Amino acid sequence: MSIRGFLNSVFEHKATPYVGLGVILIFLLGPIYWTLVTSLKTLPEAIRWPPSYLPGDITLSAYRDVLTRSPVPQYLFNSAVIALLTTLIVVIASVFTTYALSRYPYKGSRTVLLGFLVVRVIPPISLILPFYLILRQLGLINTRMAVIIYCIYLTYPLSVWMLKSFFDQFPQDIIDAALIDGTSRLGALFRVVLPMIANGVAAVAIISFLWTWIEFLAPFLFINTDELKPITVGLYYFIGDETIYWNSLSAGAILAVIPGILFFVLAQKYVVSGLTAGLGKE
Amino acid sequence: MKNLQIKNSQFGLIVSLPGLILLLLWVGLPLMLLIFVSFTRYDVINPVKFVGLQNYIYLFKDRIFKLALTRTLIFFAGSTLVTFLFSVPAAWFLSRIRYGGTLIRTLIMFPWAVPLIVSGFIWGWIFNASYGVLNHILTTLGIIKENINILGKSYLAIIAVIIADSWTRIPFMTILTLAGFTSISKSLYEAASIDGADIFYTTWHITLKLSKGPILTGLLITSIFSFRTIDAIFSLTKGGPAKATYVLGMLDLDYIYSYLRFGLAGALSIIMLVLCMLIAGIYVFFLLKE
Repeated sequence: MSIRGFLNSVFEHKATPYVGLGVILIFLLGPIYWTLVTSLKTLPEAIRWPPSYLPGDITLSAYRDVLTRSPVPQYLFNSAVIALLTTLIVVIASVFTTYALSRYPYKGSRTVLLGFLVVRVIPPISLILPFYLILRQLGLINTRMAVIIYCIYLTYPLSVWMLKSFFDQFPQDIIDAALIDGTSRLGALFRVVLPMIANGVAAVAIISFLWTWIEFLAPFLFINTDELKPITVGLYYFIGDETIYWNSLSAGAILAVIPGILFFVLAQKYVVSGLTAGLGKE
Repeated sequence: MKNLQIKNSQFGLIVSLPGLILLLLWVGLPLMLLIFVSFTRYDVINPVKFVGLQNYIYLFKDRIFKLALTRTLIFFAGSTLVTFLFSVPAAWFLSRIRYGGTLIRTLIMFPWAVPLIVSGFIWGWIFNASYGVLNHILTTLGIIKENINILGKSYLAIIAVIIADSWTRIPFMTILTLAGFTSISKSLYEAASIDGADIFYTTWHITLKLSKGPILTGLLITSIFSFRTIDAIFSLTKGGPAKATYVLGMLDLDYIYSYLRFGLAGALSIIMLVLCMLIAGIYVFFLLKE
């Protein structure tokens, strides 16, 4: 048998994709597993050599320490407030904008849509300086509002593009029927369109939430009071400590990752369709 | 009709106007300010002064800027390459399995939910010189004799930050590539197999060649995100050791945060913006050629 024939039979074998995916999953999930295991250890066990790949006695002491004796609950709360408010503002704004741009085009509306696409090429790190200067001028430095304002910039253009595909696919006949019944155009949006594309709107909301949740640089630059820091910045300062409590830090990391993983498990299909529609995270 | 007193186009303009203003205030205004700042001497000691292109000239002559530019190119190219090398096979395998596809797809998405700053911490713990699990695995396998300080060696630290970065980018690229693979008509494969084409032939000539669009789009997004995001580097190496992972974003942050030289930070921001557009432009050129 030729080499090519042999390789053919290997690659065409039913088990090959599973073996390949197994290797890839070890790389993708291994680090998360390792963080989880570390978070379930005591500190002496976490830094024992050689390391144990299963926690000997599973203990939740790291989580108890983090949740009762550290500011992590406050950090998580700040992250949630910032992400929820950003999401609320962005989703409301982008629903109206996209409905109008997708369904009621006017002279120049295509240019506006293109504008929403082009601004996404601007690297956020480039705009962090002008945002910092403006927010300082407005006296908003060291407030959660500063981060929210920046994150609106981060998520709004993306939301418009993700929602656009859902609005574009919506059948015009249904809107027309509602209009003939005497509903206003805004009434048609709320009573007919939104209920039917609720999944799409939910996907956009989830992605905006996550994107704000994982943001680091803006809160790092804009906030210096410990009580206002989100979890990403809070965890960063954990690492700077003299003695690193690896088990507590791991517990904090797991807590920071949970919302995202929960969303993927619960709403994977919609998130994926929203993402491929709007093309891209971050 | 009474409920439609104004024209559709007028309605569209009125309803989208707040959103348009939001875009102008949130992107237009900062962008104008950035361009202005980049032409000024703007620090905390002297009054703001217009200096023309001096900031740009200073940067282009600066040794650290050149160093950071090189590091950025290595970092984003490496991250894009690693993402590509994992994502395309993952999508290919996923397109060929019959059972468990949804479950595996969900599991593959997990790293996407990890904030990059946390990814840096997670990998830092794995790479740790004293307690790191990777050192244990490598010594057990006999690949290395004793623990090495991965984050303390320049060439290894670059690989480490590339891994921590691309690790979170693989899920999205995989999903996008998979969407491309599954949109290819089954009849093409059947026709090819009747002609006696083997799996190498069909994978290259059908699967990959017909998915150029989604793959290029995925690479474009991975490239520009790796180019502009420094979170993983920030929590893993802070640009070290000996500036081995000191990318342009780190330099920008130092100008803003440590040196408070806003004029130089502005010019550097503009340069990064232009480079990002250049990268995007190259991909769009190839995409349009398709």
